[in-house]
Amino acid sequence: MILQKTGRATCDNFTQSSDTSKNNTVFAPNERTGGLTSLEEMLFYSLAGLVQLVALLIFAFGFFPSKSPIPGFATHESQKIDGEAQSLSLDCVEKISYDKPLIDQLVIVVIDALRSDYLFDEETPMTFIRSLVESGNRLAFNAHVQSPTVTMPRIKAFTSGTVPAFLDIVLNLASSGFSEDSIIAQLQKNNQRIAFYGDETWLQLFPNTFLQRSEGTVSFFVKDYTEVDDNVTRHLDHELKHWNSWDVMILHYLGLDHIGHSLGPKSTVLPGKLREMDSIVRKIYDSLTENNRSFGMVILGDHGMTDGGSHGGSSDQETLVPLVFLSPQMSAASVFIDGKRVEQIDMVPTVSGLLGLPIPQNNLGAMLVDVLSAFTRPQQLHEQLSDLMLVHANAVQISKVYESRFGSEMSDQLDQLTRRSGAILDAYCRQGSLPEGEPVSALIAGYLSMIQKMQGRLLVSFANYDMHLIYIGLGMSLMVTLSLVLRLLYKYYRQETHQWPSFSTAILWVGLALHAISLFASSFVEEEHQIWYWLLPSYLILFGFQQTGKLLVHGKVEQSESSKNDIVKLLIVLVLHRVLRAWNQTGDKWAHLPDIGDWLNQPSHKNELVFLGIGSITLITLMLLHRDRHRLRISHFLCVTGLVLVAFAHFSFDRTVLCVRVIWLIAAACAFAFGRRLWALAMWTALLMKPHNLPLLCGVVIQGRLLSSLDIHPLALYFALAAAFFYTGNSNSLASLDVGAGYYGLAQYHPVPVGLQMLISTYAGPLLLFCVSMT
Amino acid sequence: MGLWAVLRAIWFVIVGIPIFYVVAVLFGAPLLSELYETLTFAIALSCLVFFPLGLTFTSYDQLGRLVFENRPDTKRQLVAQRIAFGSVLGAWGGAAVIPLDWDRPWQIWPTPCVAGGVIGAFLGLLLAIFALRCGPLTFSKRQKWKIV
Repeated sequence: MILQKTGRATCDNFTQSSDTSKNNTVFAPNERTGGLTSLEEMLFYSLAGLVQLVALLIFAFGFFPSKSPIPGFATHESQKIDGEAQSLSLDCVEKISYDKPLIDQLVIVVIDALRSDYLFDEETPMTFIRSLVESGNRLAFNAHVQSPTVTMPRIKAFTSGTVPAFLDIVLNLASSGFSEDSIIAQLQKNNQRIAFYGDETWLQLFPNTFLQRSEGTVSFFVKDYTEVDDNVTRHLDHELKHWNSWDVMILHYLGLDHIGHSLGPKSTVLPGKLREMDSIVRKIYDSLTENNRSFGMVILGDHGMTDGGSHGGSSDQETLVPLVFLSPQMSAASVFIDGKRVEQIDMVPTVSGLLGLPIPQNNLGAMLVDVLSAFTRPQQLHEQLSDLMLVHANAVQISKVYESRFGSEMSDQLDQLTRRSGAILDAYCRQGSLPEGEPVSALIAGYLSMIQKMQGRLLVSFANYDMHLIYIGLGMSLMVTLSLVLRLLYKYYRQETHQWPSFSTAILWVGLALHAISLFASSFVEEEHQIWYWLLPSYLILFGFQQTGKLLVHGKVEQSESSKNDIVKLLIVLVLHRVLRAWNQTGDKWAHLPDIGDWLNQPSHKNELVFLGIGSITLITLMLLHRDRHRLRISHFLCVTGLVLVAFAHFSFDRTVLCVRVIWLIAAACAFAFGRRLWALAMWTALLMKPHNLPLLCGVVIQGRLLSSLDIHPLALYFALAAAFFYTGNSNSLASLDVGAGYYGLAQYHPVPVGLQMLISTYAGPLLLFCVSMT
Repeated sequence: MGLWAVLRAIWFVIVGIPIFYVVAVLFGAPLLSELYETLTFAIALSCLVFFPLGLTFTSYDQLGRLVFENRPDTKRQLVAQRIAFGSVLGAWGGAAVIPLDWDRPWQIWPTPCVAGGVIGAFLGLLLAIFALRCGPLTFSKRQKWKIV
């Protein structure tokens, strides 16, 4: 029993302890399976697995709520105070109509990952934007964005005013056209000319929209943070010179986000980048001021970034971004130096109002009246009424969304407000003045509080889960777990001798329970790797301690040799684990700390990177050959060629499409024609790994070989698998997903191969470890 | 328990320091960059674990029996063993607070592990006193639990 292979170890290890193991090895088959035949046993476990899977699916459906947008596009008619119903003279309403734009031109500057403190901090390098406070030409808000804080869902959100669904992240990779009503769709319907430069995602979301002039920059190469922005800025001079040829210009700068991802938010290049963004804003502002068209600028961040430089979650650093309105036509009464707290989607109705466009159908944003009233307009009274009509349009529009979701609970209040504002309009049109005791500002405030009430409930409901499905899923999962535990206990009960599990086995079960408990604390979810990095050495050290004890106390000659071997192997696994965990810092709190991967990625360490990469592929090849040493065949030649090609692909061909496809072919041939699946897996994972992670694969293969030769409990292998998942820099945050790995060997997006390759590259560590230790 | 026992205990502690340093590094402590912190932990744990064991030491065979099979010969050995095990368990469990996002100064390595070790040693001592006062003592017989 001592040299039993892990792969074949059964749950009976649970009840093993060294001095009784010899007596217990021969179980009657009946006791071994606890009264069931092996077929029944297999059926039981398959059924449990199946039910668990179904439970997970049900849970997922409840956890990722779906939303059903109102189809179609908004028109002005649908959002007006109904003139005829209020018996108003129509041309009077036309006169103060809100569909006349307040500005002729709008520039929207999206700075990817611009978080709030970059602008609102007192020592911000963005001095120009800050200096506009004094002249009242600036209104700054501290805008809150909804999770997921990923670029594509955020673009959808702040153009349409909706809340992105979590499933949008999946679509983030496959961003196909966005067909819902949005500012962009409205601009297009109203024949406004849009120029766009920046993140390519926009072009995928709104195909055939920026026909006039546009250029997309690809955001896959995170290491590039100068050129990606220069490619946007180089068009500016031309556009500013021909300022008459466009109405709306959208710029989306990615450089800041790239700096965050590759160097972290405390990087020394970051202030320079902020200064660059500030000077671009100044350039546009100054240049457009010289023309005689009125214009406005909106500067916003699509999401923030964590102290680790990534994003995707819902911490304050990721969800608070600046939203700044700039215009020489503005004279803001209050300046909000530190930013008034609003929702970012509030910008949607505001921009619609500024441009005189209907508010997008599914918008949940509330009009920012501060911005509207900051724009000076000729007649005081007129102006107020126009604001009133805009807010009314917003209220009508949002109450439709509200109605489609909850039924028409708010319509009474809206009817009452409509009647009152109708009366005001009526009085204004007939007498040219407002009725006594009915101030317009009070009405606007009434509308706003109603809008905010509806917005609050809608935002919560869109972020809500379907609790019934979640409970059903959790209940099913709990039942499966319980029945498995009961089965285990029953089997234990049926055994003749009852032994406590050995200490090292006990710590596995305790560790499993501790891990489950730890997931109730959000920081342990963010730092889950710490749990496994803590449990795995705990088991290995205790197991080694036990082997030492056997050696010292029992000291039998035939045992001592294997115990000594075991201890040496355990030490190697432990040291390997320590090295591998230092390869990629992950999680949230310490993700920014320097690690071996960062060191290897520095340009000055190129030679070390190549040396280590080639060395580890060679070592993997040798180990796999050593494993097959008794049955070497001609086909091994092909396998070795494949791995050698992988090394070349990494370090001389830069993984071009052709090169990757050749390796695919070789791997497929190895797997299906010659049955060398482990070789094929090694080829594929090594191909998809980032070069600095190649030594990780090598380390994982060594670990797998050593662990499989040790008499450890199967659960310990599970611990090692969990740790291996985190070695490559994975975490529970979406931000750590390596999207680029999916695209190797592909010229364009295909969902199946991209998904498969992302799956393989994400789980490369545990996959390889499992397959090596099992065969 | 004379002068020699104390000197032997000190010798045990000195030998124990590198052992605990290595264990701390295997659990994730930085190899050299936080030398003082890790050394502090190693010295503290070595004192908590090896000093009592060294004081009650009689022979290596007996030490093996005491540690691996939970078979103390004397009451003192039982107390020493409970303190040693308690402090190791405490230091192990103390590490659990490090990843939490409370941002307190005492969460920084090695404070929670050293504190956990001290608390664990104290609890071990209490357990030992409890066992000696209340439980029936069965020295050198089969014990309820053991490591090997």
